Order: sequence, then C-alpha cells, then structure tokens
Amino acid sequence: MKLCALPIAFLLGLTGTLGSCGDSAGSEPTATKAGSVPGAPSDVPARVLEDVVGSTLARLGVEARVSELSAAELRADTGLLPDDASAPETEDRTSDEGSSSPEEAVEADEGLDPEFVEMREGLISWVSDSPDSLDTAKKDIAAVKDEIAAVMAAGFSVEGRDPTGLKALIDLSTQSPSPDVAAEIAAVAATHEEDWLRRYAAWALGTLSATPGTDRVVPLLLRRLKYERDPEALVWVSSTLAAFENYAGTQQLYDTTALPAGDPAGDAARGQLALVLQRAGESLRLGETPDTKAVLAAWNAGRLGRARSAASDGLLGEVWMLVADLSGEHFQLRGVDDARHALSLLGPWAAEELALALGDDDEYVRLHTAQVLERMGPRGQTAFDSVVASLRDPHDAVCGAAAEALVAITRGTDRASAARTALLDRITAKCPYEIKVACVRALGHMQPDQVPAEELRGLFESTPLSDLRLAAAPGLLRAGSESLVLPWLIDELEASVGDPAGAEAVLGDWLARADSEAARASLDAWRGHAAQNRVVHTAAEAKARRAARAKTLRETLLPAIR
Amino acid sequence: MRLVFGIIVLIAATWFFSALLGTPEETASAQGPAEWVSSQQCAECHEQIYNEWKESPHANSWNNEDVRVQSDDFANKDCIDCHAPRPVFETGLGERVLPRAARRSEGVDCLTCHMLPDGGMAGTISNPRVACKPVTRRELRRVTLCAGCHDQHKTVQQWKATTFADHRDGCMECHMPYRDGTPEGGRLHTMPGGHYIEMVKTAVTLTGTKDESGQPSVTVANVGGGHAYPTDERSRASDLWWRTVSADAPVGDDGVAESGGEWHHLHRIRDPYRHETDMVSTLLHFGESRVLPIEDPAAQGSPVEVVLVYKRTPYYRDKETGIAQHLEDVADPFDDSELVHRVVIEP
Repeated sequence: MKLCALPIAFLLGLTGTLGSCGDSAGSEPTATKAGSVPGAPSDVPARVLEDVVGSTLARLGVEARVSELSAAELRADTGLLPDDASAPETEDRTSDEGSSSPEEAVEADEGLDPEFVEMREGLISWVSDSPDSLDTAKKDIAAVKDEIAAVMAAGFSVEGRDPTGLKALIDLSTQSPSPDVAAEIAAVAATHEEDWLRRYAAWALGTLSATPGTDRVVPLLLRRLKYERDPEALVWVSSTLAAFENYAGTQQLYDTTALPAGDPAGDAARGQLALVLQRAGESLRLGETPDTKAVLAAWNAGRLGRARSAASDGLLGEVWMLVADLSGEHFQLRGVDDARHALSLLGPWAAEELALALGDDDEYVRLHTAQVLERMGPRGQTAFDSVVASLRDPHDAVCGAAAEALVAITRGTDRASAARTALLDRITAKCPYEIKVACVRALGHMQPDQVPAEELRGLFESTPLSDLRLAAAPGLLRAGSESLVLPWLIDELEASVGDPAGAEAVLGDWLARADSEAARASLDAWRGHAAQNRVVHTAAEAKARRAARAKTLRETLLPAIR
Repeated sequence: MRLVFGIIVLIAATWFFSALLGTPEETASAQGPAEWVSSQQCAECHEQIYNEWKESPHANSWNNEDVRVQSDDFANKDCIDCHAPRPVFETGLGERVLPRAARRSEGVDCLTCHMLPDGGMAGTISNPRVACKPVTRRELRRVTLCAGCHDQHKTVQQWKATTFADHRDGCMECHMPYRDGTPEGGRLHTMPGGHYIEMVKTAVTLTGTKDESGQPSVTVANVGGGHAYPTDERSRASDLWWRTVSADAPVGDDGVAESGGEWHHLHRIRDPYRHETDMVSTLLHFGESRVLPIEDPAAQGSPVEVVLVYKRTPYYRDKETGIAQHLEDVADPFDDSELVHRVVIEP
C-alpha cells in the first residue's frame, strides 16, 4: 500500500504543480465573499459581510423596491442565450416616486371615511372655483385635521385632478400635516409638468418642516436639485431643504441671486438666501448672520445639519431605499447615480448609516457607498473606521473606491494623517496590484502637507510601470518633485505604450495650478495647442497635439525646473 | 519487489504526463509568463487578433477623445466601469461590470473578455499545450458576455425584442463575424459597430416618394440593426436633412450633390441624455419604418435631395465657429457626421 501510495502522491503532486501553473497565471487571488482577506496581514480579520440593506429595511418596516431593470434577468440568462432565446419576456417593471396606477388611483379612497372624502372634494371644488374661500376652507380642514389627514393624502392619488385642483389640495392638506401628506406634496414638487405647481409644492413643503416625520421628503428634494431646470422651483427646493436643516441647495440658491432685480426667481432667491443664512447662523450659534461662503464651508465640513437621532424612521427608510438602489439589481447606472447623488447630499448624520452599508454583502452596494462618501467629503468623516476597514474589502474594486473615499472624507481634518497611514499600510508587500495603484492614486490626491512625498518618490523611482508612476505623479508634483516627475510625464505624452491621455490630464491640471513663471508661460502655449471652439480632435489630431505640447514643454518648462 | 514496482509505476507516470504535456520544446513554450497582466502579452502568439483589437474602439475606449471630453477626463467615474472594466468572468456574466484601477489605458482589453477568475484564460477550444492554456467557455459567444457594458443603454433589451433574438443571432453574428467566413478562420476582433459607417449603412434604409399633391416624403426604416438605431451611447444621433437641388446636379466625392439649396433639418433619431428632460426618445427600433413628410412648400416643384447622416456626438461642431447649439444654426450637416444614405426625390 505504501509503495502504491508513492506514485499516487507523485501524481497528485504533479497535478498540483500543473494546477498551480495555471493558477499562477492569475495576478491576484480570487476575491471571496468572506474568510481571509487577500493580501491582508494575517492579523487583520475579514470584514463580516451581511445583507445589511435587506435587514435594515426590514427593521424599518420598508418594503424594498423591485429592481427596475434587468440585472436579475441577465444573471438568469433568461432570453439572452442562444439556447434560451425563446424564453418568455419578463414583465417590464418600473418604479418611480409619486406614480400610481389607475387601479390604485381608483382605490385611493377605499376604506376611508366617505364623509371626509366628500368634504375634501367639496372643499377642493369650492376653493378652485372661488379662491377667496381658501381661508374659510382651511379652517374647516384644521378643525378636523387629525381625522382627515389620511383622506387628504389619498386625495393626491385621485386620477385626473387638474393643476388648480392640485394646488387647492396642497393648500388644504397643509392644514392636516402628516408625513404622508408631505410625501404626496413632494411627489408633485418632483414630477409635475407645470413649473408653477412644482414651485408651489416645494414652497408648501417648507411650511411642513416642523411636523414630525415630514423629513422623509428630503431625499426626493435632493434628487430634484439634480434635475430641476426652473430657477424659481430650484429656489424653493433649496429653501425647503434648509428648513429641514439640509444646506445642499445653498450654492444653487446663491447662484440664482445673480438674476436681476425684478426677475421672480432672482428676487425669491435673494429673500430666501437671507433666511437660510440666518437659520444657519442660529444653528452654528454664531450670534450673527454668516455669509454664503461660511455656511457652505460649515456644511461641507460636517458642522451643520441635524444629528442622526433627529432623523425620523421615515427618513431612514428613504435613505435605505436609496442604498438599495446602489445594488447590483439596478443595472443601469443612471438610476444608481440618482441614488448616489441624493445620498451624497445628505447631512453628516447619514455617514453613520453609510458606514453600515459598507458591510453589505453586495459588492455594488459597497462600491457605490464608498463613492457616496467620497462625494460627501468631510461631511462623511464619521464613517472613517468603516472606510479604513474597506481598504481590505474582499473585492478589489471596493478597496480602490474606499481609498479615494478615505482621502476625501479626511481632507482638511485632523484625521488626514491617520488616513495617510492606513493607505501606506495597505500598499506594503503583498498588496494586489490593482489595490496598490488605487491607494497610490488616492495618496497622490492628498493635500500638499499630507502627501507622503518620500514614499511616493521611492515608489516612482523604483517602478517602470506607467500606472503607478501616473498615480503618484499628482502628489509628487504638489510636493515639489517637479524635476523628478515632469520629464517622465512629458515623455509619456508621446509614449506608444502607456497612458498619454492620462499624462496629459495630470500635466494640464498641474500647469493650471502651478504658480511659477515658467509654468504660467507654458500654460499659455499648452492651451494654444488645445482644440479650438470645443471641437473634439480626431485620434490623429490628438496625437499631434500631445507631440506639440511635449515639444513646447521640453523647450519652455524643463530648462526652468532643472 | 515492492520498491521495483513503485519505480516502474513512477516511470510510467512520468511518461504519461510527458506525453500529456507534449515535447520538451512544447512544454517550454507552454510555460507562459508567470501571470497575465496585460493584453500586450497576448500579442506574442495572437498577433493578428491583437492588431485587430488594437485598431478597434474597444482598445481606444480609454483614450478616445470624445469619451474624455464627455466624461471630463473620467472625473465622471461611472464611465470608468465600462471603459476600463474588470474581467467579465470575474464580475459575473450579465452583471454590471466593475471598474479597474490599473491598466486603464488598455481600455476594454483581452483580459476583459478572456480572463477567468482563477487567472486562466477562456477560449473557444481547450488547449493545455499553449502558453495561456485556454479552457473552453461557451459563454464567450453569448449575449451576456457583452451585456455587462452594452446593456447600460438597453441595447440588449432592444435586441431581445427583435427577430434576431428569435433566431438566436446574438451580438457575435454581426459584430464578430468569422474572419474568412468559416469557423476555422476565427472571429474578427475589430468588432465593427457604430464606429464603422459601412456597418451602419446595413442597419437602415432610406427611400423617398411624393404624394398626389406633390409633397415629398422619406421613409427611414430599421431593417438590419439587431437593436434600435442608433443604440448604446446616448451621444449617438442620426439626422435627416433635405435641400432642393437641380435635376442635373452632379454628385461629388462626399456622396451628395455638388451644389444645391440650403440644408434644412427634417428629423433627429436619438435617445436623450438624462438631463434633457424636455426631449423624448426617437430611437428607431428594429422593424420600424418612419414616414417623414417634407411639408415646406419650397420642397415642391424641384428635385429634393435628402440625406441621413450618422453622428457620434449630439452636437454639430463647426470648425470655424464652434459648436452649433441649435440644429437650425448648422450650416453644414457633414462637418461632424458621416453620410449613411442619400435619396433624391424627383418633382
């Protein structure tokens, strides 16, 4: 038996060798959902991943939206494979806020007190026909506000109501304020085709901000900041957000004040901006009204906004619905980006929720959550520990996004040096190449006083790889290593193998920021080679442009820095 | 005795595996590099395929000037996912692709489609004797391989609604045809699509007619696109322009009459960007014919030349004056587009 075992062992060993030959072809170990973390020191435990989104939504009593598009279908290969082309089409599913099917609309008032339904419709009709009767009608609603609240909210789902009727319904329903009423008015503010009605709905929401639970409309208003094209509607969306202590629209409010006196949007913006600044000053306990710049600085630094404890369950539910939208179930990135946009504009309290989402078992949720935090900047700094843990996420792509998020959330904070240390720790010996490039790129984006110049310089000098050199270049340039980096970048502009376009982007960015006389002179020549009139160059023209720029920089810039 | 038997078995096993692995020379060449990290490694053995790919839009997906402008040099990170994707087999067939941090300048490269999660290579035929030791993966010819990127704008959804899907003709049948018409020749890795005007021409037809009152009209029909026309990026557009021409106007090198009246915009076929909320999608779906009357009285009584042009950006970029923001400001429809079809409607 023992002798027989020898060749078997040999065979097994040989098979293992063959297997490892194939395995060695992989640049990095396969990412695993759990267990050991590839490339991590042995004492770093793997992050425990779980269905955070699902469990949180369940806890909040919120039913997750059905995936809008095709990821699940694609994964199942239904109808997409040559062998399965005859598979039946799955039902086209859509989801959008504020929409309801005709059946739902017909059923909107089912189960509600018919006397209150009749009262609602009668008052809407009366106010629509006789606007002077509004105050009286409001008093009627206010007298029964608790009993009629659900009926008022349901009124928005009645089909065929014209804009005048909707306005009357908004006016009346604000007398029986509730989270559901707020959600319905927010849907009007977000989706109605009439500009004036969206403005009115956005304004009306601001009057409900003191009602508990109405803060659930904040994510929808934040999304509206992305798509609203009517300047006056944008003013009221921004102003109402500030009423909920969210200052994400302050910049747009300020920008709208540039419209001339007499312009309704400009006049509204000036009035509302003054109120917003005053409110922010009170929150910051400044004793005086700050200017826009100061408010934006405080907001971006995470010093303004409600605490997490003030967020209603309704708002948390909406936030986690957005986190669910980050998942792989949502195939088209435009929907993902809507969620990412709204999440990234939430107040600093939301970072605590996002820190949890970084532990979700869906790598798409983790990746996009890291990108949300990156966009939040220092407003997301309370997620610091979770982001550091994500540097060792089982999926390389998440690690890369976490690296960039880490730099962003600590920018200008006292945690910047801790972020630098974490990133440098990550790129030691056994770090997968993908993650190493991502971490070096993140280090290269640190502020000048935080850039680990010595480490990046050593890395730059020791590697021939364009990826790593290009990733380190921005940081080294800001740390004063121009003589080391610029000659290589200029050569890279004309490299046949490498990343000429990437080098061009780094050089262009550096030239625009550099304050030396030679750089300023080179910048003019650099811009002179750019495509004129925003015409996009062909590939051949782009190659010629880079060659011309390289020649210019060799003649004007390199002599000055040597 | 047992020792002798063991040695015999050992020798037999050695012979068996030598035969399995091939000659020493073959074995040496099959070693390959320690790991596959770049498409350039593929060029050594697959020169023709590599060169085809190198000239393809896939290879240029990171460096393409239009892409860099529209993505703000990839400051819009969403663009990275598809323009420098991680291997599809790693992310999962049919899953949305995830972005690479490294080797981005190689764009959509060999490893994107062929690299397996274990670091090996997917191929159409298993062959342990060559350097990359490909293993057969039938998924390489399936729509799901392409869907991770190309369903971002619902191209696969559009395909599913066509008879191409009914006949099990996937992406490969049109966009990766056999190089010489036979499986032995392998599939073309230039992967022609919207960047190849000759292929675009096969997707649509343009015909002209006039009614009893003399009013001309054209019909544009999607007869060959296995999806909408245009498809994929929302930057793509196709415009119809018309002008009056003289009956005997010769056709120039650019494929249109050498002289004629002023060009008038007739119709745009395009899916709007998400921020273009005031626009509706006018994509021409497979099998759809769209009749477009030319109602301008000036179009009656003289020959009318109608052209269908294809664009990869929605804007017309006049090299002299800059971007024309409105179609009515476009002086020359051919300044930033390619001619797909032309028709002349006689009075």
